[in-house]
Amino acid sequence: MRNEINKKIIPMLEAYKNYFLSIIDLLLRREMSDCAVQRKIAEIAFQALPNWYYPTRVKIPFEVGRRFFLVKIDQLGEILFSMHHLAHYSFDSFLLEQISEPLLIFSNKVKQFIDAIITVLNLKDLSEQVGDMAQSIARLEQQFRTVVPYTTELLDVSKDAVYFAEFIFELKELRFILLKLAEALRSI
Amino acid sequence: MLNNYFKKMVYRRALREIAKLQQLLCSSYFVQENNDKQVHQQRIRVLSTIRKNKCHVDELNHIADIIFSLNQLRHRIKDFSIFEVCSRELNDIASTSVAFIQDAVKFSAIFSEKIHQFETLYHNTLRVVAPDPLVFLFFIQDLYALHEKVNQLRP
Repeated sequence: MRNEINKKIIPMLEAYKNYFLSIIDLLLRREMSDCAVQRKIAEIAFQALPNWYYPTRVKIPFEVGRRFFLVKIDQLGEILFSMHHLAHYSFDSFLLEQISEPLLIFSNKVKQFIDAIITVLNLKDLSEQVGDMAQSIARLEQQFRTVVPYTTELLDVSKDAVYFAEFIFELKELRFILLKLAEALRSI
Repeated sequence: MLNNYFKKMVYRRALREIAKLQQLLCSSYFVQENNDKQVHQQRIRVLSTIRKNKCHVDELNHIADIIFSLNQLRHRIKDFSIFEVCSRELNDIASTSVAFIQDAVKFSAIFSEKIHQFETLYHNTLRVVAPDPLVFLFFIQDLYALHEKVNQLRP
């Protein structure tokens, strides 16, 4: 049973990882074609999420663990679609230039983290330790605040600032979900 | 001509399915019962209906993405009592957005008016009482994006 579920989850995580990286590409380089392709693959993965995980009255501990894991994967998909909407926006080139380095570092950490989850799901040992991405997201946020020293009042008038603040907010949510997925690995 | 008619039908069906999804998602602001299964099934219906379209696929996908983005509000608000503060305005947003997605020509002005009302409430109340007012600002920005994108698809 566990192997069967892993077989479904692994391609889903692979698809989400590639979709996430293509969204970052779309945001920084306006590279749309790859994002459209990765989106289609992610959509198929999103639709393949098994229906059985929805019943809420599951009492068997392993079932609860699996359900939690799949609910988080479901949320991960929603966040990626939502980030795709924000990445469409043409941000100021100076802002993109300033945040591109910390953003690429963070996206690389996300990639490593998802790869680590896939390794564990493949029942293999991790070859190296994976960080919790806290430092890289903090650096990205700090850099954004340096470029756009925003307050709630300023956000009221700047569409660029609101959209980018929302994008960073979603990156933080994505990180949080990935940490929860890693925690839940023991229970699936 | 017949081809165009069928294209239009599929495209309208996609908008109808998106509107149904928006309705389901909005209902979860007020009732704390779990409708995850229905939401998941409706999301699948939306994505597969969009894929059946021969035109406007990117635009329809973008509208669906905005709906997903709007839905983040319910994950971001941990204290449901905050929804009571804005229940009337949120209800108005829910009903007019669903109507607007299905008939942009007829409901554009009213939806826009309801967004402005919600924004006023944000400035007067939510910015002060909400634990994290930023999430409402994101919500308002996404409502404007929805208004703009659906209007761009107007025949």
